Amino acid sequence: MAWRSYKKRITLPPVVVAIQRYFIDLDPVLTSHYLLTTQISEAGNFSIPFEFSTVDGAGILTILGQSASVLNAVYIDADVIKATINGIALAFTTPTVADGKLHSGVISRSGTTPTLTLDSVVYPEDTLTASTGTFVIDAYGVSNSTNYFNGILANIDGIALGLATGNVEGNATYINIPESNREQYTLVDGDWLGGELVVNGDFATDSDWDKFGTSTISGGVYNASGISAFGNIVSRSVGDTELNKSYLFGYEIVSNISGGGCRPRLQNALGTFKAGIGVHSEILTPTSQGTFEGLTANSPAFEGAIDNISVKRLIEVAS
Amino acid sequence: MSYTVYAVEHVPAILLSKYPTPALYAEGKLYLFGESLKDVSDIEPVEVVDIESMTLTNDELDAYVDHLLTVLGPAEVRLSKAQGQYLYHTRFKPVNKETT
Repeated sequence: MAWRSYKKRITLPPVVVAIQRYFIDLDPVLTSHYLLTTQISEAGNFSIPFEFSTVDGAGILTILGQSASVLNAVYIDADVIKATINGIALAFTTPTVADGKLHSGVISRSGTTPTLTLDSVVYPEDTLTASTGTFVIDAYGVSNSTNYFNGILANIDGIALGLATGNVEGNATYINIPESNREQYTLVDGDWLGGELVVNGDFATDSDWDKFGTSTISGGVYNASGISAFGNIVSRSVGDTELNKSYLFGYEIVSNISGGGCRPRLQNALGTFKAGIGVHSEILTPTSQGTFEGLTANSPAFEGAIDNISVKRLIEVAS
Repeated sequence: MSYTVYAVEHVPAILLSKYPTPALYAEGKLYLFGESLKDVSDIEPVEVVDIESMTLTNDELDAYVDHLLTVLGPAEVRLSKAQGQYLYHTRFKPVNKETT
Protein backbone atom coordinates (compact mmCIF):
# COMPACT_ATOMS: atom_id res chain seq x y z
CA MET A 1 0.00 0.00 0.00
CA ALA A 2 1.39 3.37 -0.99
CA TRP A 3 1.82 6.08 1.58
CA ARG A 4 -0.39 8.97 0.96
CA SER A 5 -0.17 12.39 2.49
CA TYR A 6 -3.10 12.99 4.73
CA LYS A 7 -3.92 16.16 6.54
CA LYS A 8 -6.98 16.33 8.63
CA ARG A 9 -8.65 19.70 8.35
CA ILE A 10 -9.82 21.03 11.66
CA THR A 11 -12.14 24.00 11.65
CA LEU A 12 -11.74 26.00 14.83
CA PRO A 13 -14.62 28.10 16.11
CA PRO A 14 -14.02 31.84 15.76
CA VAL A 15 -12.39 33.37 18.80
CA VAL A 16 -14.64 36.03 20.26
CA VAL A 17 -12.74 38.51 22.38
CA ALA A 18 -14.87 40.81 24.47
CA ILE A 19 -13.77 44.42 24.27
CA GLN A 20 -13.71 45.86 27.75
CA ARG A 21 -12.66 49.11 29.37
CA TYR A 22 -13.17 51.01 32.59
CA PHE A 23 -15.25 54.15 32.78
CA ILE A 24 -15.08 56.41 35.80
CA ASP A 25 -17.91 58.50 37.17
CA LEU A 26 -16.70 61.90 38.30
CA ASP A 27 -18.73 63.03 41.31
CA PRO A 28 -18.95 66.80 41.85
CA VAL A 29 -19.96 66.20 45.50
CA LEU A 30 -16.52 64.64 45.99
CA THR A 31 -14.85 67.28 43.77
CA SER A 32 -13.54 64.44 41.58
CA HIS A 33 -11.24 65.54 38.75
CA TYR A 34 -7.89 64.93 37.07
CA LEU A 35 -4.78 67.08 37.39
CA LEU A 36 -2.01 67.00 34.80
CA THR A 37 1.57 66.66 35.96
CA THR A 38 2.79 68.50 32.88
CA GLN A 39 0.44 71.01 31.40
CA ILE A 40 -0.52 70.93 27.75
CA SER A 41 0.68 74.07 26.00
CA GLU A 42 -0.19 74.55 22.34
CA ALA A 43 1.13 77.69 20.65
CA GLY A 44 0.38 76.68 17.07
CA ASN A 45 -1.82 74.14 15.39
CA PHE A 46 -3.25 71.50 17.68
CA SER A 47 -5.82 68.76 17.85
CA ILE A 48 -6.97 67.41 21.24
CA PRO A 49 -9.48 64.54 21.35
CA PHE A 50 -11.80 63.87 24.28
CA GLU A 51 -14.78 61.70 25.28
CA PHE A 52 -17.50 62.63 27.73
CA SER A 53 -20.91 61.62 29.04
CA THR A 54 -23.19 63.68 31.26
CA VAL A 55 -26.84 64.41 31.90
CA ASP A 56 -26.01 67.71 33.60
CA GLY A 57 -26.65 70.43 31.04
CA ALA A 58 -27.86 73.14 33.36
CA GLY A 59 -24.61 74.63 34.57
CA ILE A 60 -21.10 75.01 33.26
CA LEU A 61 -19.07 71.81 33.19
CA THR A 62 -15.45 72.01 32.19
CA ILE A 63 -14.14 69.06 30.21
CA LEU A 64 -10.57 70.28 29.96
CA GLY A 65 -9.17 73.54 31.20
CA GLN A 66 -7.00 75.32 33.74
CA SER A 67 -7.41 74.76 37.46
CA ALA A 68 -6.57 78.36 38.35
CA SER A 69 -7.66 80.33 35.32
CA VAL A 70 -10.61 80.71 32.98
CA LEU A 71 -8.48 81.72 30.00
CA ASN A 72 -8.46 78.26 28.44
CA ALA A 73 -11.17 75.61 28.52
CA VAL A 74 -13.46 73.34 26.57
CA TYR A 75 -16.74 73.13 28.44
CA ILE A 76 -20.45 72.41 28.36
CA ASP A 77 -22.61 75.49 28.83
CA ALA A 78 -26.39 75.41 28.46
CA ASP A 79 -26.14 71.91 27.04
CA VAL A 80 -23.79 72.72 24.13
CA ILE A 81 -20.00 72.67 23.76
CA LYS A 82 -18.09 75.94 23.98
CA ALA A 83 -14.42 76.81 24.27
CA THR A 84 -12.14 79.60 25.38
CA ILE A 85 -8.66 79.71 23.94
CA ASN A 86 -6.24 82.25 25.37
CA GLY A 87 -9.21 84.25 26.68
CA ILE A 88 -11.02 84.32 23.33
CA ALA A 89 -14.53 82.89 23.66
CA LEU A 90 -15.55 80.48 20.92
CA ALA A 91 -19.04 79.13 20.26
CA PHE A 92 -20.12 76.15 18.22
CA THR A 93 -23.69 75.33 17.27
CA THR A 94 -23.66 71.71 18.32
CA PRO A 95 -26.64 69.55 19.17
CA THR A 96 -27.40 69.27 22.87
CA VAL A 97 -24.95 66.93 24.53
CA ALA A 98 -26.19 66.34 28.09
CA ASP A 99 -28.09 63.23 27.09
CA GLY A 100 -26.07 60.62 28.97
CA LYS A 101 -24.56 59.25 25.78
CA LEU A 102 -20.83 58.86 25.28
CA HIS A 103 -19.76 61.63 22.91
CA SER A 104 -16.45 61.93 21.10
CA GLY A 105 -15.03 65.37 20.45
CA VAL A 106 -11.91 66.98 19.06
CA ILE A 107 -10.97 70.61 19.64
CA SER A 108 -8.48 71.74 17.03
CA ARG A 109 -6.86 74.78 15.49
CA SER A 110 -5.30 75.23 12.08
CA GLY A 111 -3.65 78.58 11.61
CA THR A 112 -6.11 80.88 13.38
CA THR A 113 -9.16 78.77 12.58
CA PRO A 114 -10.64 76.84 15.52
CA THR A 115 -12.84 73.82 14.86
CA LEU A 116 -14.85 71.46 17.00
CA THR A 117 -15.57 67.94 15.80
CA LEU A 118 -18.36 66.24 17.72
CA ASP A 119 -19.34 62.65 17.00
CA SER A 120 -17.58 62.85 13.62
CA VAL A 121 -19.41 66.05 12.56
CA VAL A 122 -17.27 69.17 12.05
CA TYR A 123 -18.58 72.41 13.55
CA PRO A 124 -16.84 75.63 12.53
CA GLU A 125 -16.78 78.46 15.05
CA ASP A 126 -20.12 80.32 14.85
CA THR A 127 -18.83 83.79 13.92
CA LEU A 128 -15.51 82.69 12.43
CA THR A 129 -13.66 84.21 15.37
CA ALA A 130 -9.91 83.95 14.91
CA SER A 131 -8.03 81.95 17.51
CA THR A 132 -4.62 83.24 18.52
CA GLY A 133 -2.31 82.72 21.46
CA THR A 134 -1.36 79.66 23.45
CA PHE A 135 -3.91 77.06 24.55
CA VAL A 136 -2.94 75.87 28.03
CA ILE A 137 -4.52 72.92 29.87
CA ASP A 138 -3.60 71.53 33.30
CA ALA A 139 -6.76 69.73 34.45
CA TYR A 140 -9.69 67.65 33.27
CA GLY A 141 -13.06 68.05 34.93
CA VAL A 142 -12.35 71.26 36.82
CA SER A 143 -11.58 74.85 36.08
CA ASN A 144 -11.46 77.94 38.19
CA SER A 145 -14.88 79.37 39.08
CA THR A 146 -16.80 76.55 37.45
CA ASN A 147 -18.44 73.40 38.65
CA TYR A 148 -16.71 70.08 38.81
CA PHE A 149 -17.64 67.75 35.99
CA ASN A 150 -20.63 65.53 36.64
CA GLY A 151 -20.30 62.35 34.59
CA ILE A 152 -17.64 60.53 32.63
CA LEU A 153 -14.50 61.90 31.00
CA ALA A 154 -12.36 59.47 29.01
CA ASN A 155 -9.65 59.26 26.39
CA ILE A 156 -8.51 62.85 26.61
CA ASP A 157 -5.45 63.65 24.53
CA GLY A 158 -4.37 60.03 24.48
CA ILE A 159 -4.93 59.26 28.18
CA ALA A 160 -7.59 56.58 28.69
CA LEU A 161 -8.66 57.84 32.15
CA GLY A 162 -9.73 54.32 32.93
CA LEU A 163 -7.70 52.97 35.85
CA ALA A 164 -9.40 50.27 37.93
CA THR A 165 -7.08 51.03 40.82
CA GLY A 166 -4.36 53.56 41.47
CA ASN A 167 -4.35 57.28 40.89
CA VAL A 168 -1.70 58.08 38.29
CA GLU A 169 -2.30 57.35 34.63
CA GLY A 170 0.15 58.83 32.17
CA ASN A 171 0.20 62.56 32.71
CA ALA A 172 -3.00 62.59 34.78
CA THR A 173 -3.39 62.25 38.55
CA TYR A 174 -6.77 61.14 39.84
CA ILE A 175 -8.13 63.47 42.54
CA ASN A 176 -10.86 62.26 44.93
CA ILE A 177 -12.01 59.44 42.70
CA PRO A 178 -12.92 56.39 44.81
CA GLU A 179 -12.50 52.95 43.27
CA SER A 180 -16.22 52.35 43.74
CA ASN A 181 -16.79 54.92 41.00
CA ARG A 182 -14.78 52.88 38.48
CA GLU A 183 -16.57 50.14 36.64
CA GLN A 184 -15.60 47.78 33.85
CA TYR A 185 -17.85 47.84 30.79
CA THR A 186 -18.14 45.50 27.84
CA LEU A 187 -18.84 46.64 24.29
CA VAL A 188 -22.16 45.10 23.22
CA ASP A 189 -23.82 46.09 19.95
CA GLY A 190 -21.90 49.34 19.85
CA ASP A 191 -22.76 50.45 23.39
CA TRP A 192 -21.03 49.90 26.74
CA LEU A 193 -22.67 47.57 29.24
CA GLY A 194 -21.64 47.44 32.91
CA GLY A 195 -21.58 44.50 35.29
CA GLU A 196 -24.61 42.62 36.59
CA LEU A 197 -26.28 44.41 39.48
CA VAL A 198 -28.96 41.84 40.25
CA VAL A 199 -28.22 39.11 42.76
CA ASN A 200 -29.99 35.78 42.16
CA GLY A 201 -31.61 37.02 38.96
CA ASP A 202 -31.84 33.41 37.79
CA PHE A 203 -33.86 32.46 40.88
CA ALA A 204 -31.45 29.67 41.70
CA THR A 205 -32.41 30.03 45.36
CA ASP A 206 -35.47 31.23 47.21
CA SER A 207 -33.84 34.40 48.47
CA ASP A 208 -33.13 38.06 47.71
CA TRP A 209 -36.56 38.80 46.20
CA ASP A 210 -39.79 40.20 47.59
CA LYS A 211 -42.61 37.92 46.48
CA PHE A 212 -46.20 39.03 46.02
CA GLY A 213 -49.57 37.27 46.16
CA THR A 214 -49.08 33.52 46.42
CA SER A 215 -45.97 33.52 44.23
CA THR A 216 -43.11 31.10 44.84
CA ILE A 217 -39.53 30.65 43.76
CA SER A 218 -38.90 27.07 42.72
CA GLY A 219 -37.44 25.13 39.86
CA GLY A 220 -35.14 28.02 38.99
CA VAL A 221 -37.96 30.42 38.13
CA TYR A 222 -40.31 32.87 39.83
CA ASN A 223 -43.82 31.43 39.68
CA ALA A 224 -46.15 34.42 39.81
CA SER A 225 -49.65 33.77 41.10
CA GLY A 226 -52.23 35.62 43.13
CA ILE A 227 -50.87 38.94 41.87
CA SER A 228 -53.19 41.94 42.13
CA ALA A 229 -54.15 43.75 38.94
CA PHE A 230 -51.71 46.66 38.50
CA GLY A 231 -49.79 45.37 41.53
CA ASN A 232 -46.23 44.26 42.00
CA ILE A 233 -45.09 40.92 40.59
CA VAL A 234 -41.57 40.61 42.01
CA SER A 235 -39.07 43.13 43.32
CA ARG A 236 -35.97 43.91 45.31
CA SER A 237 -35.69 46.92 47.57
CA VAL A 238 -32.14 47.97 46.87
CA GLY A 239 -30.32 51.17 46.09
CA ASP A 240 -27.90 49.95 43.46
CA THR A 241 -29.12 52.12 40.61
CA GLU A 242 -28.46 55.83 40.48
CA LEU A 243 -30.56 58.72 39.30
CA ASN A 244 -30.19 60.05 35.78
CA LYS A 245 -28.16 57.06 34.65
CA SER A 246 -29.40 54.53 32.14
CA TYR A 247 -29.76 50.82 32.79
CA LEU A 248 -30.60 47.89 30.57
CA PHE A 249 -33.33 45.92 32.32
CA GLY A 250 -33.68 42.37 31.00
CA TYR A 251 -36.06 39.57 31.96
CA GLU A 252 -37.57 36.44 30.49
CA ILE A 253 -41.21 35.42 30.46
CA VAL A 254 -41.01 31.63 30.54
CA SER A 255 -44.76 31.05 30.60
CA ASN A 256 -47.85 33.22 30.70
CA ILE A 257 -51.05 31.59 31.92
CA SER A 258 -53.23 34.68 32.36
CA GLY A 259 -52.12 36.66 29.32
CA GLY A 260 -51.34 39.64 31.54
CA GLY A 261 -48.32 41.82 31.02
CA CYS A 262 -45.09 42.51 32.91
CA ARG A 263 -43.58 45.96 33.16
CA PRO A 264 -40.03 46.57 34.40
CA ARG A 265 -39.49 49.36 36.91
CA LEU A 266 -36.38 50.95 38.39
CA GLN A 267 -37.11 53.51 41.09
CA ASN A 268 -39.55 55.84 39.27
CA ALA A 269 -38.63 54.70 35.76
CA LEU A 270 -41.31 52.56 34.14
CA GLY A 271 -40.98 50.40 31.06
CA THR A 272 -43.69 49.04 28.80
CA PHE A 273 -45.91 46.02 29.37
CA LYS A 274 -44.83 42.83 27.63
CA ALA A 275 -46.79 39.58 27.68
CA GLY A 276 -45.04 37.48 25.05
CA ILE A 277 -42.99 34.41 25.90
CA GLY A 278 -39.29 35.12 25.56
CA VAL A 279 -36.54 37.50 26.58
CA HIS A 280 -37.37 41.19 26.86
CA SER A 281 -35.12 44.14 27.56
CA GLU A 282 -35.63 47.84 27.95
CA ILE A 283 -33.57 50.91 28.77
CA LEU A 284 -34.70 52.66 31.96
CA THR A 285 -33.40 55.92 33.41
CA PRO A 286 -34.66 56.69 36.93
CA THR A 287 -34.96 60.37 37.77
CA SER A 288 -36.50 60.26 41.23
CA GLN A 289 -35.19 58.47 44.27
CA GLY A 290 -36.56 55.09 45.25
CA THR A 291 -35.45 51.55 45.84
CA PHE A 292 -37.88 49.49 43.77
CA GLU A 293 -36.27 47.17 41.25
CA GLY A 294 -38.56 44.60 39.65
CA LEU A 295 -41.66 43.91 37.61
CA THR A 296 -45.21 45.20 37.95
CA ALA A 297 -48.48 43.93 36.47
CA ASN A 298 -51.35 45.34 34.46
CA SER A 299 -54.78 43.76 34.08
CA PRO A 300 -55.44 40.90 33.92
CA ALA A 301 -52.70 40.35 36.47
CA PHE A 302 -49.73 38.36 35.24
CA GLU A 303 -49.69 34.70 36.18
CA GLY A 304 -46.83 32.63 34.91
CA ALA A 305 -43.09 32.06 35.25
CA ILE A 306 -40.33 34.69 35.18
CA ASP A 307 -36.61 34.07 34.91
CA ASN A 308 -33.28 35.80 34.31
CA ILE A 309 -33.91 39.29 35.64
CA SER A 310 -30.88 41.43 34.86
CA VAL A 311 -29.98 45.07 35.42
CA LYS A 312 -26.79 46.54 33.97
CA ARG A 313 -25.61 50.10 33.62
CA LEU A 314 -25.72 51.18 29.99
CA ILE A 315 -23.64 53.87 28.33
CA GLU A 316 -24.96 54.47 24.86
CA VAL A 317 -22.44 55.69 22.31
CA ALA A 318 -23.59 58.78 20.42
CA SER A 319 -23.66 58.42 16.67
CA MET B 1 -21.45 53.59 47.49
CA SER B 2 -21.93 56.08 50.25
CA TYR B 3 -20.17 59.18 51.48
CA THR B 4 -17.98 59.42 54.55
CA VAL B 5 -17.66 62.64 56.53
CA TYR B 6 -15.03 63.53 59.14
CA ALA B 7 -14.40 66.67 61.13
CA VAL B 8 -11.14 68.12 59.82
CA GLU B 9 -9.37 67.86 63.18
CA HIS B 10 -10.35 64.22 63.62
CA VAL B 11 -9.77 62.82 60.13
CA PRO B 12 -7.76 59.56 60.17
CA ALA B 13 -4.32 59.99 58.62
CA ILE B 14 -4.74 56.89 56.49
CA LEU B 15 -7.75 58.37 54.70
CA LEU B 16 -5.83 61.57 54.08
CA SER B 17 -2.86 59.64 52.77
CA LYS B 18 -5.05 58.04 50.09
CA TYR B 19 -7.01 61.22 49.37
CA PRO B 20 -4.66 64.09 50.25
CA THR B 21 -7.02 66.80 48.98
CA PRO B 22 -10.53 65.66 49.90
CA ALA B 23 -13.61 67.75 49.30
CA LEU B 24 -13.87 70.40 52.03
CA TYR B 25 -17.27 71.52 53.28
CA ALA B 26 -19.02 73.58 55.96
CA GLU B 27 -16.62 76.54 55.96
CA GLY B 28 -13.66 74.21 56.10
CA LYS B 29 -14.88 72.18 59.07
CA LEU B 30 -15.63 68.88 57.30
CA TYR B 31 -13.92 66.54 54.87
CA LEU B 32 -15.97 64.37 52.53
CA PHE B 33 -14.66 61.09 51.13
CA GLY B 34 -15.99 58.46 48.75
CA GLU B 35 -14.56 55.65 50.91
CA SER B 36 -14.78 54.86 54.59
CA LEU B 37 -11.91 54.20 56.98
CA LYS B 38 -12.72 50.50 56.79
CA ASP B 39 -12.58 50.64 52.98
CA VAL B 40 -8.96 51.80 53.02
CA SER B 41 -7.67 49.97 56.11
CA ASP B 42 -8.46 47.30 58.68
CA ILE B 43 -9.10 49.97 61.26
CA GLU B 44 -12.54 50.41 62.76
CA PRO B 45 -13.64 54.00 63.34
CA VAL B 46 -13.84 55.05 66.97
CA GLU B 47 -17.49 55.93 66.48
CA VAL B 48 -19.95 55.76 63.59
CA VAL B 49 -22.97 57.96 62.96
CA ASP B 50 -24.82 56.04 60.29
CA ILE B 51 -27.26 58.49 58.76
CA GLU B 52 -27.37 56.31 55.64
CA SER B 53 -29.35 53.62 57.42
CA MET B 54 -31.82 56.08 58.94
CA THR B 55 -35.06 56.75 57.13
CA LEU B 56 -35.16 60.53 57.24
CA THR B 57 -37.21 63.09 55.40
CA ASN B 58 -35.27 65.97 53.90
CA ASP B 59 -36.34 68.22 56.80
CA GLU B 60 -35.22 65.61 59.33
CA LEU B 61 -31.91 65.23 57.50
CA ASP B 62 -31.36 68.97 57.56
CA ALA B 63 -32.13 69.11 61.27
CA TYR B 64 -29.84 66.17 62.00
CA VAL B 65 -26.99 67.74 60.07
CA ASP B 66 -27.54 71.05 61.90
CA HIS B 67 -27.25 69.16 65.17
CA LEU B 68 -24.09 67.32 64.09
CA LEU B 69 -22.42 70.57 63.10
CA THR B 70 -22.77 71.81 66.68
CA VAL B 71 -21.20 68.69 68.19
CA LEU B 72 -18.35 67.84 65.84
CA GLY B 73 -16.40 64.92 67.21
CA PRO B 74 -14.23 62.04 66.03
CA ALA B 75 -17.16 60.01 64.66
CA GLU B 76 -17.23 58.78 61.09
CA VAL B 77 -20.50 60.05 59.60
CA ARG B 78 -21.96 57.99 56.79
CA LEU B 79 -24.37 59.44 54.27
CA SER B 80 -26.09 57.73 51.38
CA LYS B 81 -25.38 59.07 47.94
CA ALA B 82 -28.91 60.45 47.74
CA GLN B 83 -28.55 62.20 51.12
CA GLY B 84 -25.18 63.67 50.13
CA GLN B 85 -26.47 64.88 46.80
CA TYR B 86 -29.51 66.45 48.44
CA LEU B 87 -27.29 68.39 50.85
CA TYR B 88 -24.95 69.36 47.99
CA HIS B 89 -27.77 70.70 45.87
CA THR B 90 -29.62 72.51 48.64
CA ARG B 91 -27.11 73.93 51.13
CA PHE B 92 -23.49 72.79 50.95
CA LYS B 93 -20.89 73.50 48.29
CA PRO B 94 -17.23 72.51 48.51
CA VAL B 95 -14.93 75.29 49.59
CA ASN B 96 -11.89 73.89 47.75
CA LYS B 97 -13.07 75.82 44.71
CA GLU B 98 -15.52 78.58 44.12
CA THR B 99 -18.46 77.07 42.30
CA THR B 100 -21.27 78.56 40.31
